[in-house]
Amino acid sequence: MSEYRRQHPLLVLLDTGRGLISNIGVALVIAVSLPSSTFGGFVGAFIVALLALFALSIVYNGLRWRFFFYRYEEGMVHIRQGILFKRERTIRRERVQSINVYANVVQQALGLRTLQIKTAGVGVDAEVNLRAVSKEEAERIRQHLNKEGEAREGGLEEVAKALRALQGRDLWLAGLTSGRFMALFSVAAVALSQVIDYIPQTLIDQALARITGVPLLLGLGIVLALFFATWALSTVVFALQFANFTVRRFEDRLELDWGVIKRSHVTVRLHRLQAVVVQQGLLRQPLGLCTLLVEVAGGGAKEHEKVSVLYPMLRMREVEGFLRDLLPEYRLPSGATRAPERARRRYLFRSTVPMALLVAVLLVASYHWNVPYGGAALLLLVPAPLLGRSRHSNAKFSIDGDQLTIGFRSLGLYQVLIGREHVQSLSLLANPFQRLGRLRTLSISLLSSPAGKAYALKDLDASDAWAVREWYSMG
Amino acid sequence: MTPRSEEVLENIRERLRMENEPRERIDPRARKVWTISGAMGAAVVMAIALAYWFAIPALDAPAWTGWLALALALGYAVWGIYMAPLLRTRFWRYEVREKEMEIQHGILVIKRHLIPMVRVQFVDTEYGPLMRYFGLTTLYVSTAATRFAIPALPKERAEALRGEIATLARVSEEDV
Repeated sequence: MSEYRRQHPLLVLLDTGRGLISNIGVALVIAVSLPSSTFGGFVGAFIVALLALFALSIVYNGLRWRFFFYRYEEGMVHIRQGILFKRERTIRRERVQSINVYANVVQQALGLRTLQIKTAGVGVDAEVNLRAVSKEEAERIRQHLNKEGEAREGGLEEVAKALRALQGRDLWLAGLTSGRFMALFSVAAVALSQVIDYIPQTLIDQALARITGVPLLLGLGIVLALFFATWALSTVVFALQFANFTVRRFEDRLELDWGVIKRSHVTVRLHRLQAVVVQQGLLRQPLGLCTLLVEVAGGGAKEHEKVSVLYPMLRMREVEGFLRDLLPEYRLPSGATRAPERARRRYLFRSTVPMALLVAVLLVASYHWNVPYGGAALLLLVPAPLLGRSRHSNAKFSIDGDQLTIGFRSLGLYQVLIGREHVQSLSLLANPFQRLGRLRTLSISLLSSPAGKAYALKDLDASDAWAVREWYSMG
Repeated sequence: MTPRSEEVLENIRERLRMENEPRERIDPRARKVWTISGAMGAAVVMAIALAYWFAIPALDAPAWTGWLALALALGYAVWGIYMAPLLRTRFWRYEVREKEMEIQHGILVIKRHLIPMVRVQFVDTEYGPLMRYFGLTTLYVSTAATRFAIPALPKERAEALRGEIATLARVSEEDV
């Protein structure tokens, strides 16, 4: 393939359609600002303005499409674009960090794909962003840029070394335990409480008159119904999002596919992988389930460009086998060094004192404004020390050869597996109290998308923390 | 002081230090720079506190709040002009070795960072007007994820270090 070609002409319509909503806003502004007599009043002016904007954007997008060319050959992709200012760009296969293929509903119906090619640059946007190429073309470009493309030129097809897919019951279990309904529930609850404000008081009084005696029960019933509805909804959304999740391991990369309504395909080169995170959410931990997440360098800052889920749900006892098959570079640690006993009161202090202050403020506020059941705020004091205790007993690290594993609890339980070569810098921190107690906070910086990230382990014994530093030090 | 209490004090002092501190200290002139900039900050805070104190009759606020504001401003001045620069110069250390460098700094919370040379992406130097008057320069070392500073190095030393680190920080191909 050596001639320059354009993207699919439907791109013009796709882009125009995408701009439609913002055009409506602009058209409204124009319609309002025009003298009311033009084009027969406001509605007429609005329609004329919208049509004019529509025509303009068709012309503009048409020109953009007309002057955007791409070409791929011999392990390179060339882009040439620009209506007035021409810009050319060439990306070599070796520099490519990831190739992502996406399709939203419209694109799927039209058999089109978005293809993004990224290099290690720190920029937010993809270096190459083809927004309308046919499914087959996207696949051809992807294979051309993959190592597999080199093999294919020699007539060989690369087979995945290992594969794992999330299906059937596990997918639904993953959805049920995703914990996403908590956010959804609180949003729905707030929305509902806002709606109640708008219902006329007389209506409420009438309704209450009919159901006297059980208002508390009714309220509880509404909350419960809302709870289960949001749970079910979030489960279905999760299942749709992660349906047919497959992860395949090739020699130099992982390939991930998922989704029904929106199919996603992501390639992660192994050298971009900075760390593996085993996350046990609050709902998953009691069931012995976890999520595998990854920290990946490079890639975009936008949510859908980020690769963070390596596998949506896995049983804890399967993690070891999963890593052995798909990521033998990482392994679960066998033992662990924990934060010392004397660090416990610091953990308890950190989790309890801010909560106690918050409760005090709540109590004063509820007394001041006469809020009923204000004393219920005291209940918040129960989980706080328990959390602190659990955080203390779960703060641990382990060194196995070149791999450092740190375990901690924020709300969920985390284990972060990091290779020494991916630690960007290591810091030991100590405030005066920690120094008096010979305790250190260990902080590990790594590269993550879009910026750096640090994982910290608080209140380790000074000599244990020093041992990690020695492990990292090159003398 | 009894030998016993001296022993206890010495033990506390030893604990307050970090173990195996990096070898090199920053230039003592740094303390002057921080004292001056601390004094400027303190002057602003004091001016605000004084303005409040004088405005109290007009604002109809209780008199003790004015005294409290003055006391806080005074405390801040002592901290910013004397304590903070003292502790900062006391704890700021660095060491550049062949394969890695180490920086320690802090006022209350002492932080020490270990940065392997292969992770260093850029080294740059920077100085403000006050620093330049004293002939000092701040050296910044950036990895792909983090940025660290060694403040207040003599200009020539900073430039030499910048060259040294840049040479030692060989860019390795397989890393991101």
